[in-house]
Amino acid sequence: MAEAPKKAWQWVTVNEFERPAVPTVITVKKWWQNFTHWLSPESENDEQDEHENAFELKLDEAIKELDSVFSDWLNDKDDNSLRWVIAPPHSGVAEAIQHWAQQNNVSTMKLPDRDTLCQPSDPPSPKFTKTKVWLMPQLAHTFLRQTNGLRWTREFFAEALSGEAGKGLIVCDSWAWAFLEKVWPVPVSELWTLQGLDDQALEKIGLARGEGRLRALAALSRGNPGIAAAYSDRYHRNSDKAFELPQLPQVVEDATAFVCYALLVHYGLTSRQLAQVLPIVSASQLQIELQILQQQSLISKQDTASKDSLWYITARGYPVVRDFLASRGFWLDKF
Amino acid sequence: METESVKNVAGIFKSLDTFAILEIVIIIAVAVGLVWLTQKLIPWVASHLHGKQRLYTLALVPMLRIVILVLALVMIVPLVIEPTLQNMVAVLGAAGLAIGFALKDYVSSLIAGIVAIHEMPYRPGDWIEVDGSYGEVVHIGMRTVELVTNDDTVIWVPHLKLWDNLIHNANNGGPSLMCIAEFYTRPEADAYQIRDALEEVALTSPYLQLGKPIAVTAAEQPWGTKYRLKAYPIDPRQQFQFVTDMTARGKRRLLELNVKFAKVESGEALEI
Repeated sequence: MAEAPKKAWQWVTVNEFERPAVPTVITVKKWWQNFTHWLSPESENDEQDEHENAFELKLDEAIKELDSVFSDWLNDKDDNSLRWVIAPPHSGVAEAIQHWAQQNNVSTMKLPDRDTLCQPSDPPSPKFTKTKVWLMPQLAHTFLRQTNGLRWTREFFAEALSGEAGKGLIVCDSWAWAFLEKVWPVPVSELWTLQGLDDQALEKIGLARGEGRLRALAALSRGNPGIAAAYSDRYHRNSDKAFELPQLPQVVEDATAFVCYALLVHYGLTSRQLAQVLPIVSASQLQIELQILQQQSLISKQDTASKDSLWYITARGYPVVRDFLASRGFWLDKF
Repeated sequence: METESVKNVAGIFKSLDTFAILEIVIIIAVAVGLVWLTQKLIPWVASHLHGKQRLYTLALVPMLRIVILVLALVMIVPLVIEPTLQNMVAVLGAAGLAIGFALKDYVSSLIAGIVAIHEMPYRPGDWIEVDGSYGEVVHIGMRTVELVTNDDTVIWVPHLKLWDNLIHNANNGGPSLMCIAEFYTRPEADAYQIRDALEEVALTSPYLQLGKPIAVTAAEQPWGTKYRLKAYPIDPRQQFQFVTDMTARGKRRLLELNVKFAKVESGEALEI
């Protein structure tokens, strides 16, 4: 019997996750690019409006596929276990899960106010709807990496893992998860993620054409559909032009790395929150770092309901920032 | 008789023609050039790297230098003397006598330098303490090792120290270097509460290497309790900023918990 064609969107456990293979020629090209950048760092950066040209990702299939992995668990009234979904930034997983949760009448938990998390007084506690299935929409937004800033998340882990909180689905960014595994080092079962999209999967969702281009896109994005979409310019999908990656600033200091890492671990931060998690960097230096990184298109800001904007690592900047943090020995995510 | 022994000594050496001299000069020039190039190029490459990659790249400098110099020597010796056993014994014996009297310490340092490259008690990028001086090894020369302290002072330590001094190596060729921040509190403070608070302080430091353990130890002293918060920074070069960060935030956290710090009056301090 012929094997069923592989689906583009597949939900798998974290142990089954596979990153697309990186062809040797791409590795060599990357070394060469890094070497030439050392010799003559480019000061100019072609800033592109990624929202204008980037391919729009359609998550309908991914949401449908969620039914096949979670519907039995959702409908089993005797099963009070938890499901964890971990995914790298810009993968679209958090949005897909939220849509699915809305479709299935799963109630979304209220996130704590991060601006008040570090106050010495007792912080608010997590409130679970114990009679109903609940969704934690983003665990990365429940803590600040600062003394006092982890109490809400610790309480969440204690209650959720004890079984007292009832049945729930928890979404967490992969960088925050890598950090939280050190905060609450209890291995959890039922850890799910979106399978890395290889060249065939990328072709199915219409991100590029041509075998070489697809492989290069899969390798660059590490199977992350959001990153692949950001590099799959809708007007250059057939082109053989090399991907134009944003460049790191010419002078990178410890503070640059700390800002990038903090933004990834917290899945975005406001300027005020950033100052709270990095008190060792002066406020003016933080502003300088943010402005430089923004000029290089490595970070961007998003308006929020509060008066402060949320700084985050851009989808196009993510591969560059990840390599930069890896070269500096930072604790990385598993994706 | 005397004339014959002079003849014997002269027989050890080859007669050097212009071509041989030119050959020796070229070998020396190439060897010196290569050593110079490795000493410039490799640290430059290493300056663009971090962590393990930087340390392993820096460790190549003294190794390559010794390989180049030994190769140069192997090429020059047959050009100057007849490489028979008798001639080698005679030349080495005479050289050993001269060295023993005149250049003992200098040569001892050179030999210790070779031993240091083999045994690796220190490598470029290591943080070592010798004779009370603590700093990063930035260069391993033929005779000395060059340290740069946290105050940006350069110290040249002869390899000779290797024979009879204790060498304290804080990271031993790797990126892991334990840092310790110390806190002194009054004896009545709750030790477990302080331990938990200090562990949190280390865990939330941006300098922390998350893959390494954090530990807090407490020891009773005549004036109170001494706590030592031990953790590893991402890069050994961040050790002083890391300790500063842990100290500043640790003090703030302990003050929030109303922990009273131990203070020793000047008179008592003198007694202690």
